[in-house]
Amino acid sequence: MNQSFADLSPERLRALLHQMMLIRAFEEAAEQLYLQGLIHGTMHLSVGQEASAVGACAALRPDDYILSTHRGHGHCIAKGARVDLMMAEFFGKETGYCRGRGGSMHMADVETGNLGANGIVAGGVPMAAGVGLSIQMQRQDRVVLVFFGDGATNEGAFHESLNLAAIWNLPVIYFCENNQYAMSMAITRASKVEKLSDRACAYGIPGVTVDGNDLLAVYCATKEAVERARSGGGPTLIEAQTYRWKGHSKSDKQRYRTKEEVKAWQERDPIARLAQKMLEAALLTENDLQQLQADVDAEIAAAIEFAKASPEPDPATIFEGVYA
Amino acid sequence: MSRELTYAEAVREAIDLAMARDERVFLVGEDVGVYGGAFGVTDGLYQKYGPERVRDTPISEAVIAGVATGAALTGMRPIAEIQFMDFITLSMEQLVLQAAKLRFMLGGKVQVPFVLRTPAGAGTGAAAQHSESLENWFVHVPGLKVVMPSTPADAKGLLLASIEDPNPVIFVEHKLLYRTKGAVPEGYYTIPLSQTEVKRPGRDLTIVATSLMVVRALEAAERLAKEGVEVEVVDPRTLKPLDAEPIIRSVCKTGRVLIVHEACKTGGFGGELAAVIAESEAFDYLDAPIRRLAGLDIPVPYNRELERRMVPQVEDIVDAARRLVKEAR
Amino acid sequence: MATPVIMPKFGMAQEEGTIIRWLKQEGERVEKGETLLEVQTDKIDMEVEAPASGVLTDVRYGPDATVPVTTVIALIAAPEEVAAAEARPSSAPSAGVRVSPVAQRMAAATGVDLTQVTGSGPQGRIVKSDVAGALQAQAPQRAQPQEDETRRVRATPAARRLAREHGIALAALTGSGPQGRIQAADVEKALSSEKRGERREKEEAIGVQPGTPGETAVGEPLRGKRRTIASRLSQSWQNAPHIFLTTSIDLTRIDALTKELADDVEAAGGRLTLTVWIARAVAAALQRHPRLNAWLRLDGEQLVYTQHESVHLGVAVAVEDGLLVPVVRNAETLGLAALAARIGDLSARARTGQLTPDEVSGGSFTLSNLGMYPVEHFTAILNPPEVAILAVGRAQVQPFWNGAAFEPRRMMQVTLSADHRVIDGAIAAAFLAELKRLLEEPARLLL
Repeated sequence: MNQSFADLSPERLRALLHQMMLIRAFEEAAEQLYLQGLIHGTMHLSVGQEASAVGACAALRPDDYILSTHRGHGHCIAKGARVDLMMAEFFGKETGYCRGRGGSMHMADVETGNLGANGIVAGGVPMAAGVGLSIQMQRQDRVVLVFFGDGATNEGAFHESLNLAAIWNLPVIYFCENNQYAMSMAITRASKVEKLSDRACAYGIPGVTVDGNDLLAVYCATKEAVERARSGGGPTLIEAQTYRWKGHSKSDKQRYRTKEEVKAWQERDPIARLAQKMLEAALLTENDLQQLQADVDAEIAAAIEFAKASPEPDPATIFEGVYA
Repeated sequence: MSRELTYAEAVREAIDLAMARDERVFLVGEDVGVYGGAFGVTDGLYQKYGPERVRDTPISEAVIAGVATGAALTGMRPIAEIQFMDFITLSMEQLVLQAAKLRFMLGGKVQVPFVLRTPAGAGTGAAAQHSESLENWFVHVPGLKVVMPSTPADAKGLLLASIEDPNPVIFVEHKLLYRTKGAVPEGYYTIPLSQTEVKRPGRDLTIVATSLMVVRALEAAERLAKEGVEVEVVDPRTLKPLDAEPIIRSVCKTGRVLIVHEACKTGGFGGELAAVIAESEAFDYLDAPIRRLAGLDIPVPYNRELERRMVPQVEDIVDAARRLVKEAR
Repeated sequence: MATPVIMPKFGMAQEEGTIIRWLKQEGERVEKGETLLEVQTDKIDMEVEAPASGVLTDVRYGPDATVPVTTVIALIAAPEEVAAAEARPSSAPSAGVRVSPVAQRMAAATGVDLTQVTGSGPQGRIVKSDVAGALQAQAPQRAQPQEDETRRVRATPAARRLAREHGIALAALTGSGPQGRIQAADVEKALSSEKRGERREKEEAIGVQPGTPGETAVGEPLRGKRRTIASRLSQSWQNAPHIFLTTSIDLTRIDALTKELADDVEAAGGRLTLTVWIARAVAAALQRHPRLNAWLRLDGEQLVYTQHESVHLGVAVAVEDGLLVPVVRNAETLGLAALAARIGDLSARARTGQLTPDEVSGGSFTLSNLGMYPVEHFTAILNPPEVAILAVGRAQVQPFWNGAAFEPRRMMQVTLSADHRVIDGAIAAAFLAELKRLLEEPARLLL
């Protein structure tokens, strides 16, 4: 076992690399479908942030919970969701994860512990305290990991949730994907602390900042936080520094940043970095890599076919799900 | 068997019974523990069930609603308390954008069964930020249920039904009702949600009232009876989803309807009720315009007399009812 | 593009017209200006000309149909368009009309003719607001007169339902609610009084005999002129409390003067009849008693009284299927000869159906003369919104006590009907006295 790959087996590493590639392929396909007019609404792409989603979820058990964000396709896939059912949701089809009622911003797969993406910045953060309390009161040894962006850390609810989880010692991992911008607002303009994880000290909990484009770094930091939470040590605030390559949503002209800045971050591509590292460690061959890419492309193609062939929701069921 | 209990005691008894019966039920809110709740409603429960199930929170209304939502989503049955309904403004996002919609947004694959109790209403001299009646905001949100009991017996049965309900329920209590007494059956029972009740039968005029206004309408009906005017008092009890049928039936019978609520008139629940009546077959039985008697469109004033005038009183109901009946005779 | 043929509005007060017959058939070629059909309005019969040359298509109403004015009743299509027009459903707009789907649906639902609507959207596209505008513009004309009346009545929904269920006319009831609002109890009261037989008595009094045994008479709905007369007269009789005053007028001097002036009047194109004399005297008397030269109208919920400066004298003329009242405008400005010529002309054209709509409306006082029949005197029903009408009986020689002996004199009885809501008995009497004096001492007409 190579020390630099933590406790991850080569098979596991290949699986995680595959997951990152699948996320990217899914989002690139989604963008194409949008441009072709096959998908409506909007979407928030996490291209460039795959390591934080996959690294964080790799440290969780299948029965652990996550709460996700509007930029949540990666979290959903990383937690184990099926891309065909996701694609069907994208198409608004009855076979989709949310029966076409939620779409990109509310993608959820309760069976794999994903309690849902969220259209509201910091929307999942207060709920995470409730999920944590639920776990604690039911004497389960699960944890809940809540993803949120740098923008969410300036919402009041963020403070309320971290404080409550801290005083009640709840098994919550607060996972901040700092992709540098809340829409156009740079985090350097929005916060005066050097690292967002510094805020942890305000709640008396551990805080850590990691390179969010380094899968192993993310994995290791999350694993430590998960172990602490699971053993009754309470919440942790993790900040994964990363970057979104695409605009905030489909209508972003990206006037707030330079092409050079984007390019510099693209050179730190989390997928290429892991692949390179595995190639160097002979855990992967170029052939393997090509095969992985081919597998991923086929999966996405099949997902699109499934979504296209799926039925639309029956308008007669429009009221379903409003009340239980 | 039933005995006299206050409204507050009835609410407490319901919580107690639910907690004794179901391990998943717990209480969360500001000062609900040792303090016993700002109005003493949860008094003694902390001693009985301990700090884990009777949880004091910091002053954090957003996360109180978030805790209720998250815990309900993952198998618990929280009863959250927002100390004054005014403070629910700080919980709106979690209630309106999360709890209410989660089930729908997720294609019906989850449930969010919690009860959020909150005392509303003026009459305590607490002025504009501690006297709100905001129930209609929640009536406007699909996915939420809104319950507003007017008697101790209803409070107990409706609260137990709300706790059993698989949806988020906003349970609006009234501060001035807490000390009112009434016969309350012993033991565990539920009164189904969305079941409007005729509190007093009559043939001349229908008064549809909510919460404290039901009590005042009944008193007004008593006075009017002495003048030979027979008022039917109808209490929706659950505002959303509304059981409109008994209201419509009553208006068909009497041909006149007065709607009374404490919340400000403009945009209040009375407008919805009026529209429901006007759109129904009751329209053809109306022998006078639908009238509303509601809170004035002002913030609740501090001054005792101004505060009194802001909210419909028994004599106001008597006057409005009398005018309505006279003009249509 | 097809040109619509609409039910024309011939007069200010006209709300609908009844088609008598089509002179052109569907598919027939017509030239602009040719007569397409004949229409009966509430006052007169009119011809409708083709507004364009082409082929008559899409005839939407047949004979006897009563149609609100401005409603499209047919289209005239350019010949090459006919085939295309037939292929389309009739509710679809004509080619070249740009319509938003919402506007299209709205028009179909409300019966608005899109060819009559000007589009305000891009490239003249007809949008929702245009249809709404057209609807609003049509609203007053579309409404049936009876509906209009019902709508003006203040009544609760419960009262309306009861009235509907029992066929009670709300307008006939008095409301006991605020501002006279009719309550359910008012309808119930009317219902119970009906049960006591009051209504049946009333019906018998006006000759309604439902189901006479042995007879198989076919009922016929009132139309056009007759319907208008019926509704106006019953409205007048029900709404206006009438008072009647009768006087006898000695015609000795008028008769003498007639002999003197008849030739001159005839030379001017008229005939100096008794009607002309009375018209002249009425115009003069109204100048001195203008309270009777007025209208009383319901404006919303208010009764509004308007006095006229000029005398627009309606002169009732019996015609084949009813009664026409052509109006002599500014009668007070006309001398005997001009008045005679004018009355002669109007009466003649009334009998041949050639009056224009404006010649039969706008009167301020009406004169009704049945002197050609053996009618000694009669009472007339007010012609709303006028507040007075004069009924003239037959002139006949009667014994007259001159203080020493009876002598024969030609006398005539006239009866004034006045709306007691605004005309007191004394005022009516003063007018009548003035009129009597003017006719008995015609020199006063010169004053």
